[in-house]
Amino acid sequence: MKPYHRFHYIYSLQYIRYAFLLSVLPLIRALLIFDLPSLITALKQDGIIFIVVMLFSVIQWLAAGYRYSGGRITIQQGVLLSRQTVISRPMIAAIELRQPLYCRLLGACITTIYYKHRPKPVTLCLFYQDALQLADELLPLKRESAIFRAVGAERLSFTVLSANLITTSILMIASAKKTANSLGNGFNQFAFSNLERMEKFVEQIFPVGLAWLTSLIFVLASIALLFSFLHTAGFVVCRNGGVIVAKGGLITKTERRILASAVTACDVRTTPIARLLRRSAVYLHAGGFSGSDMPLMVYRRGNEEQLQKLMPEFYVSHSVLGPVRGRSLVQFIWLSGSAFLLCISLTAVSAWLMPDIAPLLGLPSFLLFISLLVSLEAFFTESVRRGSNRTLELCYSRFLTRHRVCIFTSQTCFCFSQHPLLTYRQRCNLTLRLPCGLRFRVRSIPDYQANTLPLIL
Amino acid sequence: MEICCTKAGIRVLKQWASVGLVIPCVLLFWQIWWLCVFVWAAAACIVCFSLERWAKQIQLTLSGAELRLQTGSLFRTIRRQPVWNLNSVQIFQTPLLKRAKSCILILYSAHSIWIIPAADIQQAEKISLLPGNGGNFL
Repeated sequence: MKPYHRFHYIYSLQYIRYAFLLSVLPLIRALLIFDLPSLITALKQDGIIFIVVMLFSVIQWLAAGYRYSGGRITIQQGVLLSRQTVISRPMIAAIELRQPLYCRLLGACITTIYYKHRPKPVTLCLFYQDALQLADELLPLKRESAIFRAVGAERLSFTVLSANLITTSILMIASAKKTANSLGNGFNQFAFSNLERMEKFVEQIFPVGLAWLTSLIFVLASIALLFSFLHTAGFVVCRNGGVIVAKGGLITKTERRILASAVTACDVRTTPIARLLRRSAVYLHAGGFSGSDMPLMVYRRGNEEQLQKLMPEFYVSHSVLGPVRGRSLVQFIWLSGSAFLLCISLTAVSAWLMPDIAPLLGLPSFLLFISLLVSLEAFFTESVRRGSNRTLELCYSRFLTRHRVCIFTSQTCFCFSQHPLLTYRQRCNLTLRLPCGLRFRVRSIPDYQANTLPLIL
Repeated sequence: MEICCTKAGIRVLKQWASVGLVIPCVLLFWQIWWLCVFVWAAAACIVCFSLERWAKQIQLTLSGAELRLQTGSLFRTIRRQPVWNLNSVQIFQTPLLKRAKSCILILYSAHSIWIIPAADIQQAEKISLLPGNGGNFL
């Protein structure tokens, strides 16, 4: 029987980092108020905590390890409460090898194994060579031929479409709050003074309220684009026999290997910016893997052959019109329409009573107007149909994004629901469930499809 | 094959609901016995009526390799999935349900859990032999 391979030393850091956070903050506080006796007391306490946690971490690290033999990987963790996880090759849908800067400096690699039927993946911290060897054993590569390479104009589109302003903003705000809590109000003042400087510059072009909003959006968008630029550097997507490989990144290097036969759905998302660039972002779902926030590739509209090189079964019909007859327009536009009307009324009232903040409300009104247009488009295009190559094709819209999804698996569950208004119109809503909790919802399809839509591919 | 809720099974469910309602009624109105009885009677009527209506609409159908569950009438839902999605089948019986030749049938799949509250025991046993549960029904 093969011996267990040890995890990387970083594995033990997962316990030490909590001790570090607990001990460093009182030290910084004591240093900032320059209280020497409390500093010495804090140092003594921290020393004891550190030694205890270090010992615990080293014991944990010595007891943990993994072994690959006979087509299955056995992971051993824990000392007192020992846990053994066995993952056989047929259970695996995808593997992600991620190397942030600190891991690259220390020769480590964070390896995430995604299951076909379980949503929660397994994450291991291995030596880079071990991680690569394990990935080669589980999802081997023979020869690589690039299908998508992010260079030139494609690089620009890929960077723009990968940037997620909302997620970045939330992360930025959360991290800024945490930093401000740890370092006091000085950080807040520092951040806002810089933002105000920029706002004064923008004020020369825009009115006061809008200048502040524009500065904030500009800063957040710049950060999102910078992150996206770093993540998409040297990004290549290849199809290697039965394995799809996507790798790249400048500071954080990422390699994703997805088993092509485990791909359950391919989601082509078109945002308003993607429409301007005439590109669509492609996201693959394989069991518990969904590629986090980053698309697998972008492709030019009408150039489906490029995507078919990656997934030969991929099919979207050229006819985009859905079954419109009998559909209720209100069902599609009530949310975005009412939000738009509310925002427009607020803008009108503010233009009359407080003209200074009226431009501030103009931006959400504009966004909601686009959302209304997308909802209107959904009224004409939202549909579900069987593709000519026995796949299932869904088309639906959510807020600003239009999704075209191609389903490859027959492990699906259809849920058709009707309320009295839909029954009157002989319509129903469809929720399609896939393994690992993935679900898609299509509104107002003819109710005869509840019985006639073929379940088996 | 079609599985619906049996009349005897629904009667048992109604008995459970009526008995279960006694506890909150006593806890809430224990000082005024006639109000307690009145509220219990009203709640029991409403719950039993709703329960009967809901249970009567439940219909599980097996045709070919497809499982189909239909529930509700005003708010109708049809769920469909292939039999190979099934992970396990659980049959739950109490002495009262056993006497009514019924059971609570629970179907676990990768995506969802389907419950038939008063299924016929013989039909439920046939469902439990579906492929994926170690049987060779098809």
